[in-house]
Amino acid sequence: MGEAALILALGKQERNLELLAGLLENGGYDVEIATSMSEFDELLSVRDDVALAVLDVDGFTEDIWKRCEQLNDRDIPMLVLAAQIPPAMRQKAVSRGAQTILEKPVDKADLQATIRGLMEYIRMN
Amino acid sequence: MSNIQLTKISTGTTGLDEILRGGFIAKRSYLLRGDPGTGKTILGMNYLTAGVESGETVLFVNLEESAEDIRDNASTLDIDLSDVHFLDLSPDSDVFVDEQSYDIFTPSEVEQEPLTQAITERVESIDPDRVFIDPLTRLRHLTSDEYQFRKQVIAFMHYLKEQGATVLFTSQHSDESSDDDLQYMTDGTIELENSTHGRTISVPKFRGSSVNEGDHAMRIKTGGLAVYPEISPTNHSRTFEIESVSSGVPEVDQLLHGGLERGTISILSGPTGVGKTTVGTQFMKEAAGRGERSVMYMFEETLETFRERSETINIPVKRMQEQGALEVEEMKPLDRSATEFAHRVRKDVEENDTSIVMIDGIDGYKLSLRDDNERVLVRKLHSLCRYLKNMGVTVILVDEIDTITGEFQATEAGISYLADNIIFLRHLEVTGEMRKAIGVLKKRTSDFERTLREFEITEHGLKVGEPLTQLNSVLSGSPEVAQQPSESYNG
Repeated sequence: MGEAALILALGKQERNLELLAGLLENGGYDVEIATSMSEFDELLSVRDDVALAVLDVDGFTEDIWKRCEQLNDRDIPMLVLAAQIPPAMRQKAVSRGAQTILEKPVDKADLQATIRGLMEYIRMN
Repeated sequence: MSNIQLTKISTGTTGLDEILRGGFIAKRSYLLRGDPGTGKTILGMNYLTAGVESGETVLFVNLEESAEDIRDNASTLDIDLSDVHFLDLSPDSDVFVDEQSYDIFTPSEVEQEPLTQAITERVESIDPDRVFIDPLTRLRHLTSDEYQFRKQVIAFMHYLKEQGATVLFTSQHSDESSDDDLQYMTDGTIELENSTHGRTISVPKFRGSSVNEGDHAMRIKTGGLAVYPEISPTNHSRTFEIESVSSGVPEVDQLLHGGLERGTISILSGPTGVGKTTVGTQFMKEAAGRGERSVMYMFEETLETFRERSETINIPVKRMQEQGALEVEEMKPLDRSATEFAHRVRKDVEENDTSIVMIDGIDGYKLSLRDDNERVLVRKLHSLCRYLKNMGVTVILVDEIDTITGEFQATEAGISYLADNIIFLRHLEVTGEMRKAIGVLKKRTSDFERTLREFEITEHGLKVGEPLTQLNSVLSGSPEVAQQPSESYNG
């Protein structure tokens, strides 16, 4: 298998990130978490091995979409989570390269399967 | 499924043990239902402390109130929970401060696993004989749907039984989430209710044993719950000799062809002020002379006036009380329910070997007890009387009728069917003078004198004359003199 793939997780609520990290680590991934945009930027600047970003966009400003563009520029696939996904938000996310958008709360099994799928897609490309 | 001897364990509440004919069946699970404030947690505490008393290991799984709050509440009721193990799964107050909330996954996915893990770890480490879960319905919020909830509950109950524990759990019932389904999953259900008529407890389901049906009375007091089972007369009996209980007044005994028999119910009926209580007390005075004990439950009069009045007519109530031959209980209005009253009478009869019980009077009984309607009250009076009958107690019920004279009525309470004997007292107006007459209307166990006698209440007591044969239409209240009245009695 080689080294575990790194997933970068961004979200405002710490408990959410904790739970998410727990789930991902159980799935065999390395996880870095960020609760603010600046933390996120810093992580991105030091880690060049990010395989996937999971972004819980709730509570962030429109700036979040700029980060999506950056990730897209670096060919890092994105999974976006939000409590409500109005059509406008879906459009913004997809147009900036988000592969998958899921509505919270997500089923643990669904999330695991989605991430596994994305990882396989990354390997194939 | 053969003849396995079922072990019963105490519920910690004497009255409930009696209703369940010995208590819970060990290693089974029971549901405790009831609205907030009906006493579920207190019953659970009593259940656990009963286990502690018999040297068992007991576990309180609290899912809502914190262990500290529970201990505090217990100590206000003087319940000692110091030997009770707690598994505190109540939501932590830190949740509030720490912003522990989340929305990425559903609670059922996040909380359930650690919860079940905490429970199994604890159960395995202390190996409890009794478990109390309060409230189990919190698991409902931690399961994704009804099916999962049921599956969880059943698996959980199985698991606890396999561990050898007897389980009692409470449920919370609301319109949007009913707990009806839980009843299917347990070996028994106990329901608690609290209404303006008082607290009640009933057992609609109990596998493997018969129970006393009905709404039994309940009270929360120091030490926890007190349950007063409804009397089911057929469960009680005592062998006694059917003999006559004399009134001590020869003329009254003549009217009754001997007296009142033991184990019979007599109604003393008559208008206000005619002397019903005095006639009843006369039987008690005579019983005291034979060394028997009587109890009088006064619903309409205070002990003071009764005592004073009796002393002036040569019934030494005070002395009888001092000798222990008479107990007079003044019943306070709305203090208790009919079931509680019956329980009190029963306790007295069984503990003190009481031979005469007088209830003075039926109207006061109906007004004073906290039950919802007259039919229930009369039914409960009926079963109390049947019970007393089976126990060989002579029962005297005092029944007041509203009319002073005029149209004759045996009783107004709709209970004449209950009576083995009906003695009636009447005011009469004879040539402008108020006089009184006594007669017997019904006697099941023997024949009786079919004439009326005039009587007086004097300072020497009850004086009864010879049969009134010179008057016609006595029952109408204004009799006509058949012939010139001579000395009709020698009082």
